[in-house]
Amino acid sequence: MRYNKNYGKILLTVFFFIMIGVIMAKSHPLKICINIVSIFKQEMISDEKSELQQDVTGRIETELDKVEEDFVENMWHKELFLNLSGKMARNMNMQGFYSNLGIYVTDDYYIVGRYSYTTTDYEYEQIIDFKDWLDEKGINLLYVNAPIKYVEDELLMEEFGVATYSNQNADLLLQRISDAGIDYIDLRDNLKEDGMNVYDMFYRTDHHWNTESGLWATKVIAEALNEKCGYSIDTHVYDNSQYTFTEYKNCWLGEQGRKLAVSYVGLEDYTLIKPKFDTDFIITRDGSGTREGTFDIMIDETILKPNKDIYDGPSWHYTYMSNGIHESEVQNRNVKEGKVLILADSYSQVIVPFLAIGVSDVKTLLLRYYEKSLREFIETNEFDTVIILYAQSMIGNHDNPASINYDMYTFK
Amino acid sequence: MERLKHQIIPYMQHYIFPFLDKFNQGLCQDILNSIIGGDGEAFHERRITFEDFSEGTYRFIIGFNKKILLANTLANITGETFSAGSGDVSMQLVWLGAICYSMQLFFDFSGYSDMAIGISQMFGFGCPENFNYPYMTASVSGFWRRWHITLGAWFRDYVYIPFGGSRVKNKNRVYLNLFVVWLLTGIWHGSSWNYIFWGLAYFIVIAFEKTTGWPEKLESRLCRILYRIGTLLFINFQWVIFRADGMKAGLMYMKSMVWCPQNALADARAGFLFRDNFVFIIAAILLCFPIIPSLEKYFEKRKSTRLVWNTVLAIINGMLFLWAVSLVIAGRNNPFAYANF
Repeated sequence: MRYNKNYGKILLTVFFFIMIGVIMAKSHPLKICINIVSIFKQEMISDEKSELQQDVTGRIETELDKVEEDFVENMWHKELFLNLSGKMARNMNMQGFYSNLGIYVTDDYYIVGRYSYTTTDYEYEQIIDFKDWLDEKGINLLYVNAPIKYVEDELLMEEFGVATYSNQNADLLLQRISDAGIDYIDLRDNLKEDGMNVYDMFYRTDHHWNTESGLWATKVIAEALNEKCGYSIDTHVYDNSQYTFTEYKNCWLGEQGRKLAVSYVGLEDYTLIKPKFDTDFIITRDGSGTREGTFDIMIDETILKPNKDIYDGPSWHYTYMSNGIHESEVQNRNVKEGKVLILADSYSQVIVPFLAIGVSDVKTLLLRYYEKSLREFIETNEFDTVIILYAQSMIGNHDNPASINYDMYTFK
Repeated sequence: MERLKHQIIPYMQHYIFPFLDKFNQGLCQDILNSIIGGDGEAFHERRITFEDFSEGTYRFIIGFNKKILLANTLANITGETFSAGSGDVSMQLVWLGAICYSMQLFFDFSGYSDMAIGISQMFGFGCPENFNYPYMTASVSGFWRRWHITLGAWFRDYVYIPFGGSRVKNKNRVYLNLFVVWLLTGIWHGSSWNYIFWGLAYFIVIAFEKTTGWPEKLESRLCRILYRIGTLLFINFQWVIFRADGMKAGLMYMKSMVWCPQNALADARAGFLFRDNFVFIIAAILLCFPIIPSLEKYFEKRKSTRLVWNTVLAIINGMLFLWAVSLVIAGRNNPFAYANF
């Protein structure tokens, strides 16, 4: 075949093979090829019809899948490509670029998620049964509904033409447990009463609420503990004037934002909140031992590295209780009353430290990880109150057996 | 038993076994030709030149860009529309899904073909073209001379012609031959009733065109234009049957395309999907036409414009390639803690 010399194509060819060369040098194609050859060798030499032999195709597909995974993981300057993808999506105003993952971007680059409808039957039955059991033991139950990033499901319908049901699911469940006489707090009502805007309460690029929201929510919970469970927490201890607020601007990227890229949604702000008054805590966590000290032992400031490792570094939401809150115990030596168990999700990373300021003993469990008997744990520890504090998006997870949050409402 | 001995066995000996022999020989020769690009002598004369190598690489890049930028993006729309329940759709939404699927399939398949042709070209092997702007077709018969050309050629050479093709004494036999070809074409695509229906629907229309001589015999230009539009609509409906999860789902989808109750939410969704993917949808529609080859022909006339054109096109394709790679990486990028939410 004869062509007039096309220098553009020649240069593109050279560029293409330089890219392939760099990718091959950084990734492990040779290792994967050796694995595939060894699978074939096993198939040829084995006389027995083993499960492995019959699954040769599956194993080869797994190895081939690793090629793409390996290539992506080891891509030279992967973040440049992520940013290119994000930049193009932003330039073309593609708000539903990852709608297949159920996430959308509003006009203010605020990432929101979509949630399915549920009957709430499982959650309701479990809460009722749990409440009955706690009543027999003389233990208070307080259900706290934490909002998601929007309080009206119509937002997604109007902006993106998709139906979402998180707020409707929460309304239904709370109505049902209210009719059954169970005390609850719906923080959506509290934020409206306090004149707050839900969009200011959450990170734009992360599904969690911010530290200011954590402090505010803790005050609401403390007031509810006083009113409904007979506590006498001095709620003035949660006034903003009692804390220092250190602001970090445009410094980190939330978990949702890491999918869309910083070039699309931009970086987040962060506020580190610390009490001005004296504190004295003991923190115990299985696997991490025991630590004693001021409120500062609940903060890991090594996470706070502005503009560094924005894709791979830890999420700043986990600055508080960075070792994890599951199976943790926080004891406040300055307070004599109150022994609380929080059945929590990751929202409670910024609740537990502040609640421990007003309560003597706060233990936390994340039921998605807890495999033992919850009721035995409660009996053994003699709590006076159990708080179920979930983001309302937890409602409905039991409809999907593959969900990591499948057992969050299983209170056995 | 007697019938078997006196009628069926001779029939098989006279028609089926020779066909199978020829099929086998032809298949082996075809594979040989594909692999070595011709006969033994040609094989030894095959040379790998840098021009071929760069042309092949360029072709591969174009195929990759088509697949990732166009096909995969349009697949997000079609995946949603084809999996929606009948109560969750509107006419706008299903038409958007159907048209996007027609383009998704084209760019997906032609993208893979380009990559295969490009890799072969890099090593000095010639592979036949598989697509020739199929949606430019004026008739359904013409469509199959532009779409998956190698498949059509294979069925022509190893099924239609051995059965006698069009050169049979009994003209009705032509239709039988066509019927067999399209039944097998449907089955080739999948062992499901919707594929068989899809193949036989093509048989009906192609038989109609053969009988009437349309659209070539249509004298009025308006009639030929209308026939072309009708052809595209027919092909579009056929792709709906092809894509659907079974015959029933396909018919339900087609019914929604013809009539659907008002659904404001689905309309809003269709509007959003169109706006959100506007650039890709428009680019896909434009690239269904031979715009690039026409521009190439225009700029190739003079050396100076040829150089500029070739360079600009290479830069654009290079940038599109980087963008396509970024989409692959972003698609695989799963931030460590996100799934735990």
